[in-house]
Parts: sequence; C-alpha cells; structure tokens
Amino acid sequence: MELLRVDNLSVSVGNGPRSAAIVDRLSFQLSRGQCLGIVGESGSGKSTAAMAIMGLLDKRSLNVSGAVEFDGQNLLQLSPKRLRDLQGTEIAMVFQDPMSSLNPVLRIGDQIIECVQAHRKQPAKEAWSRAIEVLSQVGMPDPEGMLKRYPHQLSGGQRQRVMIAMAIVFKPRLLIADEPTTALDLTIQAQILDLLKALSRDLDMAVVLITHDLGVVSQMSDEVIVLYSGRDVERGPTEQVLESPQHPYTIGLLSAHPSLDADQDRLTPIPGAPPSIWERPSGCAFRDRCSEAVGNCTEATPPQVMIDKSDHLVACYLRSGTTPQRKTA
Amino acid sequence: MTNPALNIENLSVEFASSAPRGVFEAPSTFRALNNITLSVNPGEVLGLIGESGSGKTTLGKAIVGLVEQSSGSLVVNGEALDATKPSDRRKLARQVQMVFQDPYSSLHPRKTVGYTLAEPFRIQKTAERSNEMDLVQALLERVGLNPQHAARFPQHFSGGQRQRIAIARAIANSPSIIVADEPVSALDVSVQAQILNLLDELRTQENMAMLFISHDLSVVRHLCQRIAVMYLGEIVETGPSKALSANPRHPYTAALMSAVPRVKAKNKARSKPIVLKGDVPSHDAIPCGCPFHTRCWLYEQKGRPARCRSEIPKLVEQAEDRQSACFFPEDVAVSAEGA
Repeated sequence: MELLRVDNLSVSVGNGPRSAAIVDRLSFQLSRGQCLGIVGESGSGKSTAAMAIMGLLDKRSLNVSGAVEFDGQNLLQLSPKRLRDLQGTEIAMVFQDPMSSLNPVLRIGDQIIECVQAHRKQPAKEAWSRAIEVLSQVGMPDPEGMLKRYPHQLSGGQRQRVMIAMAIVFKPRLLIADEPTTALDLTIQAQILDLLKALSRDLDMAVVLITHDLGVVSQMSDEVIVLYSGRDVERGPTEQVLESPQHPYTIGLLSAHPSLDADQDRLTPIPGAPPSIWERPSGCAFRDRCSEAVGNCTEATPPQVMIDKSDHLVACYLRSGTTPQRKTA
Repeated sequence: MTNPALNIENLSVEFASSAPRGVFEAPSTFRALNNITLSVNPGEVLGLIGESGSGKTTLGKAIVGLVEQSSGSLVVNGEALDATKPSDRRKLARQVQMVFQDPYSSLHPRKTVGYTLAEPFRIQKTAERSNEMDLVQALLERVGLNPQHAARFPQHFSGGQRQRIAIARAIANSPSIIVADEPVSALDVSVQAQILNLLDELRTQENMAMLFISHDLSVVRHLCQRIAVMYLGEIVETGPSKALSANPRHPYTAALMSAVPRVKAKNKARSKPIVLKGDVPSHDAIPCGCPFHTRCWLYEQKGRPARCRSEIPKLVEQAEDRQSACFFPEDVAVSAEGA
C-alpha cells in the first residue's frame, strides 16, 4: 500500500533570476514497511529534501513546490495545526547528532514525557510508564534509571536510542532518519542499524534513510535514490543499482572508496568537487567532473530512462539509447 | 640497518579525571594510554584504528607533543626526544608533523596560504627569505595545487584543497614522520580518494613514514602497510594490514571488521555481522582482567573462562609479524565464521 508519494518536490532559495534549486524535482513513492535510502554527498540536498517532507522548512525564506502526499493528504498544503498533529505522531524524524538534538538541562524522562504529552493529554504517571516502555523497546538497559539521567551522562549510542525512542512513542507510520549513525562508532552503528531494522519490521513502519554511506544503504534499504546537486541521477532496487550502477557519478562513488574485501593499487577519484548550487553547470550537473561527457550533456537536464524495462532509472544521455554525439576532440 | 622513523616504548599518558574534593586530597587520574610500544619504519604507513575513547588521537597528540606523556620514551629517527623539554620542542617539530582532521579550522583564516606555508621554513630557519616563495610554490605544486594560488586565503579553497595545503605545510621541512589524525573523514567520498592517493604518493616517492589515525577500516586497509588496533588505551592487535583484516587474531578486531557496512558483493551471501553488546566502558571503570571481556563474543562462546576475568592478557608475538593481546588468538577466525 502506498503511504508516501513525493511528486516533483523542489526547494529553491532566492527568487527570479537569482534563484537556485537546492532540491530539483524529486519524486518517489514509498509503501508501508519499506525502506528507501537517499544517498548523496554534502550539499546534494538530501537533508533539505527530508526537512521538506517533514514540513520543517521555513517557507518565508525557501520556496517549496510540488506535492508530498502522506496517506492521501498533501503535507505542503496542510494548516500548521494539522501538520503539527502529524509531526511526531504519524511521521517522526531522527537527526544526525543526538547531542545537539537533546536538551542538555532536562532529564531524559522529562524530555520523553514532554513529547508524549505534546500530542495526547494524559496524566504524568501514564506518560512515565509509556516512556519506560519505549526505552525498553529500543533496547536500553535499565530504562527506569535512565529516565532520571541527563543527556551528558549517556554515551552517543544511548543518546541515539533515546532519540529513536522519542520518535516511536506514537508508533509512527513513517520515520525519516537523517544520517542516524554518522556520529557513532562502528560497533555502535551496527547496533543502531539493527534496531532500526527490527523496529521497522515490528511496527510496519516505512523508513526514509538519508546517508552518505553506500554500505549502510546496501545493508538497510530496499530502494535507493542517488542525489547529486539536488537531482536524482539514479534510482532503483538497491541491489540492482549497487551491482550494476549506470550513472557515471554512482560508478565513481563506488570506485572512489576502497573495499575491505578487494585490493586496489590506486583509487580512482572523481576529479574536482561538487558544485555549489550557484555554480551548477547547465545541462547535466555532473558533466564537469564526468569523464564520459558528450556534446548533449551541456544542453538540458538529461531525462530519466529505464534500464532493461525495470524500476532501475538513470538520468544520463549515455544510457538513453539514442546515440549521443561524441564531442569532437 | 636504518633506524625506524619512530619508535615508542612504554608510552603512558595520564589525565586528571576530576578535581580533588578537598585541599589535601591528590587529584585522581586515569590512564588514557597504557604502555604503548610501537615503531614505524621509513616508507611505511601504520594505521591506528579503534573507537572513540580508545586513545588513538591521544597517542597521536603525545607523539607530536601536544599532550604530556607521563612515562615512556620517544625515539625519532634514532634521536631520543622529550616533548616536555623546551629545548627539544623545536627539534621535535622538525621531525614530527601533524595533519589534523578538519581543514576548515587548522588553517589560519587571515593569513595567505603562501604565508602559512612559509612559516615552517622561518621557524626552523631552513630557507633564505629570498628563496622562500620558490619553495612555497614548489610545495603547492607537489600537493597538486596551482602555485599561482599562494596569495589566496584558505576561504578560497574547497575542503579537499585545504587538506592538500595542510599536508603541504606538514611536509615542508621533510619530517621523519607525519601523524595524520583522521585526515579524510571531514571530506566527501569523491574527494577522499584524491587525498588518499596523494598520501600514498608521498610515501612511495619520498619514503615518508606516517601514522594514519582513522575509524574507517577500508581506508586504513587500503593505505596502510601495518595496522594497530586500540581498545581502552591499549593496543590489542597489530599486524600487516591485509593479513590482519582478513584473519583477525583478536575478537575485537573481528567485531570491528564485521561491523563495516559493505556494499553487497555479487552472488555472495553476507556472513552475519558480530554485533557487540553495550558501549565502550568508561576509563575510570576499566574491567578487571581483559578489558574487552565485558563485550567479548568469544568469551561468551568459550563459556566465560575465568582467566579472561582475572588475568590481563599481554600483547604477544605471533607468527607472520603479528601480535595479539588475547588468550585465544587461534580461535578468533574459526569462531567468527560461526558467530
């Protein structure tokens, strides 16, 4: 069943000729219990897309257009009050840095209870026992004692568990996790990923996982979208995309990082650096760094084409079937 | 035989853990580093891995003299240096240089890149003033930047370019060893590879030694010839990088290796990752016996042998130039398959 449908979502800053798109016409669908990975480097617009879906962007300074349909209603057009009813109950979010997203001067218990009571009027006692419940659900040792502690007394992994506990208080149907494990150590990252997977299965919760780590995506998500400079350059079933990547950027990303299982003499870096949104080249945003760029690439944004009539889509002229004109050297 | 570029013996670092409660009470201390012994040869990159709190950054800082060592000796290129002695400080800075993690905060924002790169020559008095600019331009060229950009400020460069500048500053006086503390983790994946290739070139072309501190195991395995694994201020395993990552001899290394999220290989079933329970214990409550036994999967599998709880395992030489601080190094690889 389709739960979330994002249609031509664009976020831009500035207006008229001085405007630039941070997220450029992003579309996807997500069903219950599914996990979608969004990968990209810093500045690719992945976090902004998440904030836009969650309805957390300041509409006075950013132009948000398109549609975000959650369970049949367009979140971008809801009244602030209706949106607030959904945020934290039906749709929840987990952020990257658990230290800066918890209030340092409030005890863990008070923060979870605040979250419970913000949406449901219930006596503190009931809220307290709900807090214990969710903390044990996220695998926290000694949940009762934990409620009386302050964030600084917790380790990074424990803080992230608290953040996840607060997110699942109302058994949301959609969880947006923005780099949930980037600030954590390897062994702790493995624990948190395990937890997210189990929760998604138990609560039948859809997850949008935002990360820069292709390994994490490979482990967690059913589908993946690769973002580059605000545009989705490649998407499809995770295994298929990672096994036979089609876009030169995806190929570059995969070969730029050394593997733990295979030997390489020398890494093949992608030359240059990602462009800022103000200096994005015309046509394909990746063409300046692409070794295969041809004449067409400067003209217009390449359309998405299907690979082998599957769900695997790629936005690149080289793969579009119509023979592109080689740049005459 | 040539001297090792760096030789550390029994290095320990202690930090005060809390302020004394009364006037007459001595402040309590804890050991951030406990009897570290290691050496790095010229032309070798030693990778230092471990989780946060394992002491890998403290070890890097102790080597360049940014934290005070409480005991132990430091021999750089055959010369014993004491970072706490002011007379040795300048010599140490000549021999040991550091590249920091964040290239946005490690370069002076209001000095031109040319000025920043000329400073090592001025401080060590290794170049004539008239010659300085040529050397700076040569440095920039060596790290793959345009020599004409010496007059620019750090803000004009991208993250990867700034890290190149930081590396240029470190190699200015051809030090014996470079300590690189997470030099690529602040950079995007597509840019990381450029810096890793540059570091590898410096090693092969100039026979530079390097201590490479990182939490990214695949990067370490790619770049380094040898790896040392740290846990709670101690080295628990060392060995040649390929052998160590393929065939760990310490259960902690095995768990680290299996926790790396990998891109699935074609037609290859993933072995189930070993998920360690709990967090790294805090430094003022280091478990007795083997410090790792509270989280160790092998300890559980072996039926909790009493030896692990009572005796501290030492770093013991193994075959093939390897060392492990585990009582059951042979069983790690065998058991990890079935874990």
